[in-house]
Amino acid sequence: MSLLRYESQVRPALVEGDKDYHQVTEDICRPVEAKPSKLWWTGFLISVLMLVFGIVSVTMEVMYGTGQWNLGKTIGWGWDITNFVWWVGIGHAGTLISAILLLFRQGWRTGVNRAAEAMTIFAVICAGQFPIWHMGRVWNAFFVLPYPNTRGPLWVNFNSPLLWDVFAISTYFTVSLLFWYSGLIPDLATLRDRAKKKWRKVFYGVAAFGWTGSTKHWQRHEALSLVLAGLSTPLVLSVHTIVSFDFATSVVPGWHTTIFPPYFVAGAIFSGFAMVQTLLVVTRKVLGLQEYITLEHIEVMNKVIVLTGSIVGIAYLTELFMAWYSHVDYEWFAFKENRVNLFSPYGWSYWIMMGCNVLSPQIFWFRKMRRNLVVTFFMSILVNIGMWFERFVIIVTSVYRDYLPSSWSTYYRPTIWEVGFYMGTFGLFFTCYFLFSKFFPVIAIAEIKHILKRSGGNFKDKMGGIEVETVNQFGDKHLHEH
Amino acid sequence: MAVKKFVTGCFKDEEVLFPAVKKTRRAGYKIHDVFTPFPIHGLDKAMGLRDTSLHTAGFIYGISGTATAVGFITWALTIDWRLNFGGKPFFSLPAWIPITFELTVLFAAVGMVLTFCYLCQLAPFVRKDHFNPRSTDDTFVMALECTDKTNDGEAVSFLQGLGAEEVKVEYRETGWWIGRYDSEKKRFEKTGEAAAAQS
Amino acid sequence: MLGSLDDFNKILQIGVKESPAAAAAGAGSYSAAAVADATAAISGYKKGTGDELVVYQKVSIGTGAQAGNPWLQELPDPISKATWDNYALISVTKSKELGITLNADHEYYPEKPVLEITVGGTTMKLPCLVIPGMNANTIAVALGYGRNEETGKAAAGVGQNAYQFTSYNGSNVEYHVTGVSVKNTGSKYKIAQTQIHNSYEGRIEVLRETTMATFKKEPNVIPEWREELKEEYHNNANGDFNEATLYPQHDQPGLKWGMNIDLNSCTGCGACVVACHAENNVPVVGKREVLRYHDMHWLRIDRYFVSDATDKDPDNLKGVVFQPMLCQHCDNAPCENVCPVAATNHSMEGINQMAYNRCIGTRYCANNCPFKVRRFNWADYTGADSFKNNQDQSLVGKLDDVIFQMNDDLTRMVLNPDVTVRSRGVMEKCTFCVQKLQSAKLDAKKAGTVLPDGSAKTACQTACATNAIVFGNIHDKESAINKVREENDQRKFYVLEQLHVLPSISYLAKVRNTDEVIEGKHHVAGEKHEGMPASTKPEETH
Repeated sequence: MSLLRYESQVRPALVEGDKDYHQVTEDICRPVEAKPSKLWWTGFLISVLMLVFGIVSVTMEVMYGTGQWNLGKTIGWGWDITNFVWWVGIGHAGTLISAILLLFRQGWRTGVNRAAEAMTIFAVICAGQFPIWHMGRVWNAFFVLPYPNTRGPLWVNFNSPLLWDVFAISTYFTVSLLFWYSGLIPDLATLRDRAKKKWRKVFYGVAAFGWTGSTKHWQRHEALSLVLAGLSTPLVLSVHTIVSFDFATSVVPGWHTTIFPPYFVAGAIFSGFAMVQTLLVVTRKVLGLQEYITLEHIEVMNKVIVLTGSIVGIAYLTELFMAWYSHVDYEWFAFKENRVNLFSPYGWSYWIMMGCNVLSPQIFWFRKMRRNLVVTFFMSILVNIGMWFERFVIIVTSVYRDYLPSSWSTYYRPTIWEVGFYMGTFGLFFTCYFLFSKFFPVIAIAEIKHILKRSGGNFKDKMGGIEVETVNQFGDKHLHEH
Repeated sequence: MAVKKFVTGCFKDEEVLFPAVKKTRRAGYKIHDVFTPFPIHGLDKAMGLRDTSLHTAGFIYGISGTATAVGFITWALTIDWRLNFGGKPFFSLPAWIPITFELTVLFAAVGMVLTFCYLCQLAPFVRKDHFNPRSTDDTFVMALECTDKTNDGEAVSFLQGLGAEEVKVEYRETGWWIGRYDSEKKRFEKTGEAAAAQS
Repeated sequence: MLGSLDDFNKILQIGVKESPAAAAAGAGSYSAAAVADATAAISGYKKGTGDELVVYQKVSIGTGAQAGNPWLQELPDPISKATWDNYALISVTKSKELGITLNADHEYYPEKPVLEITVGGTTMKLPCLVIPGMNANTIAVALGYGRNEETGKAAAGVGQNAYQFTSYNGSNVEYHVTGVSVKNTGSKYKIAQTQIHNSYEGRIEVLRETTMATFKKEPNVIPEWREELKEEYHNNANGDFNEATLYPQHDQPGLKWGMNIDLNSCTGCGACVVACHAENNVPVVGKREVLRYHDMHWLRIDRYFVSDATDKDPDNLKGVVFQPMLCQHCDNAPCENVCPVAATNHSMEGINQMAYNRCIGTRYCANNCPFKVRRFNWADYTGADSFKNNQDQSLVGKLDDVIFQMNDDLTRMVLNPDVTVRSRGVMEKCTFCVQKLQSAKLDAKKAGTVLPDGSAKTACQTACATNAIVFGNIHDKESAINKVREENDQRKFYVLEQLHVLPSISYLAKVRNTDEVIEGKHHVAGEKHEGMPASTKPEETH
C-alpha cells in the first residue's frame, strides 16, 4: 500500500519532525489539555473588554437611534456597511481553504483549514452584526424573513440585493458551521477519549456526538465532506458576489459596476488569507505548532496573497479605465474627483487602498519575504487595512458626491459609537478565537494523520530512496511483495 | 440494542490492517467494524461495504431547495400579493436567482448533515459503547462478531497471526443510548459470565 | 368718504384710493428736472466711507415676528441655504480682503470664519457666508434674530440681534449703514447649511438653464438633446428599444399622477417647503441635527449659482437657479428594488409609496436614490417612538430644545391627523400628499363624477405663489399638467433622464432674461466657482 501514498520529493514536507500518529495527537491536543497561559488570559480579557465596549456602543445606538452615528441624508452608509463587507470578506478564506482546496486536492490545506474555518465562522458572525444593528428599527429585523403573517399576506421583496444578502450570509454561515463542525467531530472524539477530568469527558462527550470512528461512518463522513466542499465552492463565490450586488445593482456612480463580483471575490480571498496569516503566525508560535503550520504553509498563503492582491489591483485599474472609457460623466467624476484626486476630501483613502492592496503585496514576489514571519505578519495587517479602505472608498466616496451637486456632503467622521461597534466586533472575533484555540484542536488531527505517511517529513525521507531506483529495481523490490 | 460478543484486535499500522482485513474476510469471519482514527481510503471496499448514497440524498435535497425557492417566490410575488417594485414585472425571475441558489445549497447542506447524523446515529448526548478509546488516537481496531459458529479461541489466534495486538474476547453493546461519557454505566450492563450463560 | 359702491369696488380692484386732485394732474407727465433732482439725491445719498452694511429681512422669519416658528427657522434661506442663524453675507472680493481661503475645506466644513463688524460704537461678532453676486463692499445681516426665550423655544438663542445696526433718521428707520469696518477674528462658528455646493457643475442632466437670447436663437436644444438621449439608448440596445430594458413597463390604468415645475416661475421663496412641513408632519430637527445632515425636508429647493469661470470678477454672478427637488416618483424607481422588506413600492397611480410600519431602516433606498430626496429619522424627532427616554442623549447627537416642543400635547395639535407621524428609524419621503389625493378622489366618488382636473392638489402646489408647480392626472388628456408639458416642450426636461428611472416630475428650463448668447452645444454657462473643488468640464458630446 505504500505505493499509493507516494508523493514527489520535490514537494516539501507538510509535517516536519519525526512524527507518528500518536505524536500528532499529543502535539495538537497538548494546548487544549494544558492550563491556559497568562498570555491567553491577557488576550482573552482584552478581547472581552473590547466586546463589552461594542455592546455598550450598540446599546446606545439602539436606544437613541441611528443618529448616534455620523451618517446623514447623503452618506447613508458609512462605517457600518464598510465593516460588514470587510468582515464578510475575511470570512471567505476558511471555506475557500477547506472547500476549493479540497477539490483541488491541495494537501497543505490540512494544516490550516481548521483554524481558517473557525476564523471564517467568527468573521461571518461579526459581519452579520452590522447589517442587523445598522437598521433603524432593529427590533423589527425579523421583517426580512418571509414568514407567514397577518399583515396582508405581506412577503419580503425577493428582488432586493439586501434580501439576497440575508439569504446568502445566513446560508454561508450555516453551511460553514456544518462543514466546520462535521470536520471537528472526530477530533472532539479524540479529545473525549483522552479526557481525564470529568468536565472534559462530559463536554467533549456531548460535543463529539458519540463518534466511534467506524469505517462506515468514515465513508459517509468522507462523502459528506466532499459534497459539502462541492456545495461550498460555488457558495463561497456567490456570497461575496451577492454582497457586491448591493452596490453593483444600484444606480450610484462608483457602485454601478459590473466588475464588482469577481473583484469582490478576489478581494475577499485576499483579505481572508491575510487574516489567516495574522492569526496563524501567532497561533503556531504560541501553541508550539510550527511543525504542523510550517513555513511552507505560510509561503503558499503568501503566494495566494500576491496573486489575489494583483487581481484586485488589475480590477482597480480596470474600473478606473472603464470609468473614463465609458464616457459617463458621473462615473468618471466619482473616480477622478472623489477618489484619484489626492486633494479631494477622501482622496487619501483611495491611495491608502492602492498602497496597501496593490503595491505592498508585491513584496511577496521574493521568496525570502514570503518566508519571513515578521514581514508576513506586518503585511497581513497592512493588507487588511487596505481592504478596509477599499470598502470605505467604494461606499463613502461614491455616495458623498453623486448626481445632484446640491446634495454633496463630506461631513462624515465616525462617532465614538461607530468606532466602538467596530472595536466590539474585534472583541467578539478574538473572544471566539481565544475560546476556540483553548477548547478545540486548532489543527484537524484526523486530516493530518491522513496525509502523514504521504507528506510527513520522516516518511518522505524514507520514501526518498525509491526516486533513485531504476524501474527494474523498483519493480523487483516492490511489485512482487504482495 | 443488543449485547454481543466480539473478538477485537488492535493494529498499529494501516499497512498491516489492510491485508488483515482481506484475509479475515476470506477466512469467513464476520467483521463487525473497523474503528480507525482517520479515514482510510479503500478500507470500506476491502471490508465489502457498499458505497454510501449520501451524494444522491444531497442532490435530492438540493433540487428540493431550488424548487422551494422558485415555487415560493413565484407564488408570493405573482399570485399571493403582487407588488410593483421599481417597474419590474411581477415575475422577475433573474432577480430571484441569488436566493434560489442559496436555498439550493442550504437545503442540500442541512439535509445531508442531518441525514449523515441520522445514518451514523450521531447527536449530542448520544453515548455509544466504544470498543477502544485509542481508536481515536493511533490504533486501528478490528472487531469480529462472534456468531454461534465462531470458535473464540481460533478467532483470537487468527487475529494474532495477522499482526493484531491486544486481542480480546469481549461483550459490547452495539446500539446507542443517552448517556454521559464520565460515567461507566452502560444502558444494558451485562457481566461477562451472565452473557456467557445466556449464550 | 368712499363714495358709491362702484367706487368702493374700484378701490378694491386697483388697490389704491386715488385722490381726485392727483388724477386731474394727469399721470405720465414727464419732468426732466424732477428726474435730475432724484438722480442727484440718490447719488449724493450717504456716500460714506468704508463698507456698507445692509440689514435685511429674511424670507423666512421677516422682522423677527416669526422667529418663534420652528418651521421657519429650519427653512433654509433661499440664497445662503443656511438655517437657524443669521450671519454676515459677504462678497468673494471681500472674503479675499479678509484673508478667507475659499478652498474645499471652507466649503465642506460647517465652521465658517467669524467677522468682527464695527459700526460706530457697535461691535458684533458674526460668522460669515461668502455669496457670489454680492456687491464687493456690501455686507448683509438678517434681522429678527437674537430673540430670547419669551419669543419661543425655537427663537431663543438663535443668531444675534442686528437691529442695533439700524438707525432712526427722524422719519424712517434706516436699514443700511456705511462706514463699517470688518475684521477677521480668526475664530470659527458652525453654520448649518442644507446645501454646501453652489454650482451644478455643468451637469445638464440635472439642470437646464439658458439665456433668453440663446433660447431665441436655438429654441429646440432641449428637445433635440432629449431625442439624442433616446437615440443613444436605442443604439446601446442594438437598435431595439425593447432590448434596452430587460423588462416591459407595467400597465397603468386609471389615474397617473404627474407634476411639472417651472424653474422660470420659481422664486425660491420656500413657501412650498413650509407647506410640506405643515401638511405632512415633517419633523423639525434643530440646528445641531441640520449640521449633521439630518434635516428632514421632503421638499427642498436646490439653489445653484451660475457664473462664468473665465470672468475676472468672481462676484459677477450671471444668475441663480432654484430647483425645487422632491421625490420624482420614478416609474422605474431604484429605491423600490432595493428595499428588502417591500416597505416601498409603486402604487397603481404611479406614486412611489412608503409603508412606514414596514420600514426597518436599512437606508439602502436613500443611498440608491439619485435625487437624494429620501429622509431618515435618525433620532426620535417627534416623540412618536415606542421607547421611553430616548431623546436625552448627551454624548453624541444631542438634540436641540426645539425638538422637545413636540412632546407636549398642545404643540402636537399642529400635527395633521391624516398623516402618520413617523417614528425613529423610519425612512420617509414625499408622498405627493397622498392623503389629499385620496380625499379628492373620495369627493369625486361621492359626487359621482370623474375626478375633475385640479381638484387634487399637493400642499406645495397650493402654497406656490407663482404657480410654478402644476400637478394632475397625466392620463387625462385635458389636464393642466398635460397642457403645460405640451405647451412648453422646448423647455421641458426630466432630471437625470439618462438613467431611465422615468420620473413623474418634469421641469421647465430656466431662461434668464439677458441678451448674452451662450455658445456651445448645450448652452452651459461657465460653471466653475472660486472655492469650489475642481471638477470635470461637461463633455461636448454625449
